[in-house]
Amino acid sequence: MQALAFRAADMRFALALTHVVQVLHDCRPRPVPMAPVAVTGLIHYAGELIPVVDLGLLLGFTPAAMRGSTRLIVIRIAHPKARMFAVRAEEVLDLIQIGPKTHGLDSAGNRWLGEHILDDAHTAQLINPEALLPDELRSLYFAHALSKPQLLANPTLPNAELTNSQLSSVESTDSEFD
Amino acid sequence: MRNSQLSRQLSFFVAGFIALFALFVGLSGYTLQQVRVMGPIYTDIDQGNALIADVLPPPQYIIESYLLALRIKDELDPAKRQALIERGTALRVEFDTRLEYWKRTLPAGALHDVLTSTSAKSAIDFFEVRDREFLPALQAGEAARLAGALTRMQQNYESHRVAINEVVRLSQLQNDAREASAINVVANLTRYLVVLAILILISVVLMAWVAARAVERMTGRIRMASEIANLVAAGDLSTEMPRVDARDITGGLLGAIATMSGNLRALVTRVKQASIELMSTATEFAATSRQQEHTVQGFGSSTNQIAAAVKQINSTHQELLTTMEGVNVVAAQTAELAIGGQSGLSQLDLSMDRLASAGHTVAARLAAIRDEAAQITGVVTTISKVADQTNLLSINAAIEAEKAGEQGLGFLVLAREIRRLADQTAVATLDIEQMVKQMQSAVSAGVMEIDRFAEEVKVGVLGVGRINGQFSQIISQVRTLSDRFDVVNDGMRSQHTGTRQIGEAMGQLIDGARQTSTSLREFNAATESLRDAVGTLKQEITQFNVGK
Repeated sequence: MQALAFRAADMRFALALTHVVQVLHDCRPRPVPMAPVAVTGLIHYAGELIPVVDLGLLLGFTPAAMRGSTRLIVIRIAHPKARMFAVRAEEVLDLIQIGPKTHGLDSAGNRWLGEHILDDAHTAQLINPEALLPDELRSLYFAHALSKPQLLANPTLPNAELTNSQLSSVESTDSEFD
Repeated sequence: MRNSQLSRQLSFFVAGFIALFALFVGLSGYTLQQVRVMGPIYTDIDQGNALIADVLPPPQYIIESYLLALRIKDELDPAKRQALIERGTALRVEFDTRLEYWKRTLPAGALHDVLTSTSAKSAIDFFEVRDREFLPALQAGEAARLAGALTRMQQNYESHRVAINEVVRLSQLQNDAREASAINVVANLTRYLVVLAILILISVVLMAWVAARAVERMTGRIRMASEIANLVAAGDLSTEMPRVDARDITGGLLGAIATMSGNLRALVTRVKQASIELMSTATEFAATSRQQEHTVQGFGSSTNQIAAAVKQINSTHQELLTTMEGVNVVAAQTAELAIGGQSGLSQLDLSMDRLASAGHTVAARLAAIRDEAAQITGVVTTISKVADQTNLLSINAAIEAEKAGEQGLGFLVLAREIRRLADQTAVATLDIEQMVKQMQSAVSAGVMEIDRFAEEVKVGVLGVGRINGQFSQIISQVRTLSDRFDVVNDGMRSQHTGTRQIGEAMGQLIDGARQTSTSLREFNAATESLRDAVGTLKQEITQFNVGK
């Protein structure tokens, strides 16, 4: 079992690779008026508009700085109406092996913060992407998905179609938002 | 005026007094005249008494005649009878004389009437009867006729007695009335005299009071005048004179004293002011003369200093002369050195030119290096972008390989290797970037240094040129210097004599200053004595108090 280690708000977090779709360059997302605080906007990915959640803001700290190393991690969650969204992180570190887990401190209030895993000398906290989206966004987002049955009718993962042209289209989206 | 008023008052009172006193004297004299012996009152009373005394004789005449008639009738001796008849005739003559007297003397009235008519008629009838009836009857010896005549004589005698009694009574009454009237007159006169005496007393008292009042007023003013005069004598001139009605002598005296005091006060005030001014003038004198003395002393010391300075200048001149000679020698040496320096400078100029061209070459090379470094930076940026892209690709490849499971294992290793290479590339590019940056900054600093060096060389070249010119000037000036030194030497020699003369003049000045100082000290002493005199005058003046 492998996980993707990354850094947000100067802390190490980890995400199970089963959820990760792709890692992208940072771009300026299109802002959504009246959106929850942690949602910085929408980006265009593989023919869909997906929301971007800033982990720093979600944790109550400053948003991730716009550096060369800042990345967007596209995530798909196991849901009947499986949807994608992106998490903004300061730096993607490495692929790590999920070894022994420990709870450390139980953060019952935030369901998306999972167990800690020991990776060499570092400690990374696993993130549960199912509970990551803020509740109000979650309800809005999935309600919207119900009104689009054609997307539900095609539950195939877009990973298969991931090509260089798609990557460049993502990049062109970046430039579009610039 | 008041004085004359007073005298008028006094003379008025004196005149009243004299008039009253004369009246008193007259009244007293009149009273005495009235009541004196043989005066009218006395005469009246005496007349009354005399009358009473005198009235009685007529009856005596009648009684004696009656008794005589009776004796005659009885007398038989013719001789004796004849004597008795003659006696009777004498009595009748005597009676008639008295009656005539009383008729003349007595004033008309009841008494007169009673005396002359009633009483005298009876008496006259008695004498008529005696002489016509009695005596002839007797002569004839007719007894009847004699008896009848005697009877008629007896009747007349009786009626005469009654009339005499009446006269006596009336006379008594008149006497009483006269006495009463005399007492009354005396009492009246006495009362007048008392009133007059009181009036005289009052006038005298009034006179005394007026005189006393006048004297008191005069005394008060004179006392006031004396007090003021005492104050003035003691030196207090501040007393204001009371306003007096100066219409009499004392008022005039007070006014005169007031005027005198005022004049004195004005005079003393003027003298005071004058003495104050004099004092300040004397003080100024003293201060000025002291200052002058100081000035003269300062002048003396300055002159001394100047003399010393002149002496010093003299010696300095001597030193200067010797120094000048030394300088002349040194100037000659300097000229030689300057010529040597000028040739050295020409060589330096050439070297500088070469240095400047070398600096230019270095600057051009450095600019080329800078351009190349900029190109390197562009390449490095590209490399780092590629490395970043590679990193991302390798991550995604690893994710895909992981998802591919067993088939992807080999690919996973490959992807990791690629990512490691990409990371190393990134690190290397970072190092290169760093080095290029350092190189660029070093090149920039070098360019700047070279530029500055070139500037300095330029300035140096200019400076060398300037120094060269200056050397030329120095050489020419040093050459002309020896001529000037001669001129300077001459000037200094004449200055030397001049300073000696100044020194002598200074000595004379010092003597003059010393003499001036002495005379000023004498003047100071005189001023001090003047101040003392003025001070004494002021002290004298301050004994006068002029108020304010």
